Amino acid sequence: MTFLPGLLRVRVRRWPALWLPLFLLWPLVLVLFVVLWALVFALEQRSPQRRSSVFACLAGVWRLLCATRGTSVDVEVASRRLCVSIY
Amino acid sequence: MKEERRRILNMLSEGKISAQEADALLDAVSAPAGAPVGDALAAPVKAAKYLRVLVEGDEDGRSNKVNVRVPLDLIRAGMRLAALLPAVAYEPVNRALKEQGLDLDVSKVKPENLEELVAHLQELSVDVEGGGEKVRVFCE
Repeated sequence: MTFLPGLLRVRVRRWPALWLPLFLLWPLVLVLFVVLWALVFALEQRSPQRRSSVFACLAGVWRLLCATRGTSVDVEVASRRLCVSIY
Repeated sequence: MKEERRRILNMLSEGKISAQEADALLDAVSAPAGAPVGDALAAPVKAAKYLRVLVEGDEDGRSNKVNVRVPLDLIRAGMRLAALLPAVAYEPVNRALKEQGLDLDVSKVKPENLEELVAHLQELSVDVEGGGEKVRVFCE
């Protein structure tokens, strides 16, 4: 089971790293997904042929969000530095 | 033990295995229980999890560095999502790819192909050096 990313670390230049608690957004994302799934069920009544693709799309977006965990970008250009990591 | 060695040598003489494989097998047979064995019988290599892109260069005497780590799962998820594109979207995508010099029909790419592509990415290793810049792409 893969979970949504929990923390985002941002570091600009030589300033201390900023840790952003992404896990605080989880309830919001979950509510959003529940609403979207409810909408899909409503759509199902009107056009059943679109149902599977919308469900697959929602599942794909969920997988994509979960898979961002572990992404890291570190850029240093002429003594300017930006580092972003997702945990 | 002798019987096993004889069977390995027979397989070698019959051409069923190469000399290297026979060597690895003989090492494995003669090694004490629990001891590490040769390459041919070693445990499979741990699957790579990340695609790394490292770029180092100098511009006007200042060093530039880019270090990107992308989970292979993210690539996999992105490609699965892209596979859900409706058929009408394929034509402009194909055209844009062709303009970039890539003659590929996206509509013919199946999910199995994408899985295969990601699996083979794990063996990818690119090293480019020139013009004061160094680029490394590999999986870890």
